[in-house]
Amino acid sequence: MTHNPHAAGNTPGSAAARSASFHQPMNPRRDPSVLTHTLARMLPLHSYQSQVYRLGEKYPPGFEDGFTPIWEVATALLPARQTTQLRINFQNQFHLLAIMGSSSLAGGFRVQLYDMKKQYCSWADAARRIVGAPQKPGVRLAGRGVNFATFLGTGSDPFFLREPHPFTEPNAQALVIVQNQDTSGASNQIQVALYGLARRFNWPD
Amino acid sequence: MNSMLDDQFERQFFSYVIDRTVPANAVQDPNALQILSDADFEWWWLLCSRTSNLLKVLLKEQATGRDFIGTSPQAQAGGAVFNGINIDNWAGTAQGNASFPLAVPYVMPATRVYSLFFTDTSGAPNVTEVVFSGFKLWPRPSQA
Repeated sequence: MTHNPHAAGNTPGSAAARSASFHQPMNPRRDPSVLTHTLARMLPLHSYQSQVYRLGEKYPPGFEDGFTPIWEVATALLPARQTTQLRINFQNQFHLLAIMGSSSLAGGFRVQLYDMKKQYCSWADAARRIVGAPQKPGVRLAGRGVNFATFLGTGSDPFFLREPHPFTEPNAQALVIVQNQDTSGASNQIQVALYGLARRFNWPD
Repeated sequence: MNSMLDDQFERQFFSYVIDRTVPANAVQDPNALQILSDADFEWWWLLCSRTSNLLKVLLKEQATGRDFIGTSPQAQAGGAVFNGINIDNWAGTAQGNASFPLAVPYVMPATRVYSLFFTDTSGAPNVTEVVFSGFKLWPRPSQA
């Protein structure tokens, strides 16, 4: 990794320099001139979504020890067009890896996820890379409520995040807002499952 | 072998299997899986087959009391009893390379007992098989 002192501003050159310094190079150093499609780094050759986490790497950096798989589940039984809010309190250092969900009725549901404790700094001046004050806690994980079929997978076709989303703040909490989209009149059995890793409560014993 | 990459285990592909015909409308029907005493098990994949998808499951590690599948009171609308995750949200199948990957493996120690609790809402006996797929961790003799 190299550091480029001129990697500020939004010129093509500085953007390329930032990218080169921030990401791993796409090609090994010995093959610098081999052309690679720009999307090739996004997924492995077989492009199974479940292989986004490189399985050859037994414990990815940051998850070397003391983590246990956890499924956190939100469940609702909703009449037509009804909305409800569900809150999940996470265990220590929960990292979201994949999201799954199911609807008992064909109409499905819309879902919006929030990380209630996450706090990012804003830009005081984005072009000049001047960091501003922290925003108030709470971020949404989608621009608006998403149809469950385009946001949630299933056990056999899970939707894996390209990078884990950390819920690492004290008393971390997710807010799940679901709205039943089925209009048949029957109540919809809705379930949203957040799969991730949490630190064992007795770690490091 | 690079010592930074070698953890001194021989990995043998292995699957732990639970077969259970869950009675109709059973609530948290208990089933136990004990890891064999000969080796620890590195759990990588989760698979299942079932008659009906109207089946929920809970998984608990007995020695530690750890619940792998949890919820929060405010995530359970209507105050209903939490009987687990829908089986099809939890596990996949072998066909089409559709098993659920843990992404980061979990080591199940030898002799440890894991409890699965099934809840059926299909109203009929639910023939279920759950497979924990991964590797037995055999020790490798140290090389002089």
